[in-house]
Amino acid sequence: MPIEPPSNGQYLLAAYLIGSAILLGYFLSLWLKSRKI
Amino acid sequence: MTDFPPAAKVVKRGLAISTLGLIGLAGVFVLALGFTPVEARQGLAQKIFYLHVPSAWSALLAFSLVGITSALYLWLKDPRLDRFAAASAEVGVVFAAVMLTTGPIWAKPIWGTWWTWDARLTLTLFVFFLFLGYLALRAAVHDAAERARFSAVVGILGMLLVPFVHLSVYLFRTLHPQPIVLKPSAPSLPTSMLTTLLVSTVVFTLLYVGFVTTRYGLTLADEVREDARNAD
Repeated sequence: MPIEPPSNGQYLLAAYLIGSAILLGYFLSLWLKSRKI
Repeated sequence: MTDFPPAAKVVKRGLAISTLGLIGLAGVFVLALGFTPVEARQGLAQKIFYLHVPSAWSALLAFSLVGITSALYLWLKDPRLDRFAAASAEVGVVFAAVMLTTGPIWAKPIWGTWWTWDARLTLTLFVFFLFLGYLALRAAVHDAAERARFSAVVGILGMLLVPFVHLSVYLFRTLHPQPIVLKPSAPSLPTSMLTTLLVSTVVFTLLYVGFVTTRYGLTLADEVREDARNAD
């Protein structure tokens, strides 16, 4: 069975999730470091 | 957060601004998904625009400010300028990572390829690598004055690439679209799209300010701790 290519909506979801994850991840790393001072 | 009151205060302020920025980011997604029209040719993938363009803005703002504060550092030798440049470079790399991941995800359904070695994309990747090198240099040099001087030179060279990134779509043949807002004529976007883009740009600028303030405060705390250790 051929694999369907992702829809435009799925590309949008992937971009929003990855972009948010990078920003949230950086925020969490700063927050964790702030707890050590 | 009690040992170094001034640094802790700066960090606290930075985290508060960043939190506001992250709440704003959720608002941007609501605006983009609920209040902007679906573009006729690109469909839903076009809405990646509201994340990709503002992250590019914040990254290039960050790298420009690294260069400006680095030049000022070489002139004034004020350690606050070096501290700011270091914070701005790290935050710029984070925003560049968002730009360089959302870009290919947008390119795949529209251009039919994740990546192409054209001028805009290649230059952007070079600037990203250059500032990764900047951060590696800072980590490798232990003498504070030398570290500040060496990295200031790299920071200024990095800033010199920023105008080429912005103008690359005019200077070279490229797949990447030309600017639709930051251009000599009026922005060519429907009002709802333009409003969402402007809100997102404000949110990303807020995130930049929050992240840099936090990073600056953390470095300040490290320096105070280091000085206290050396004094013992």
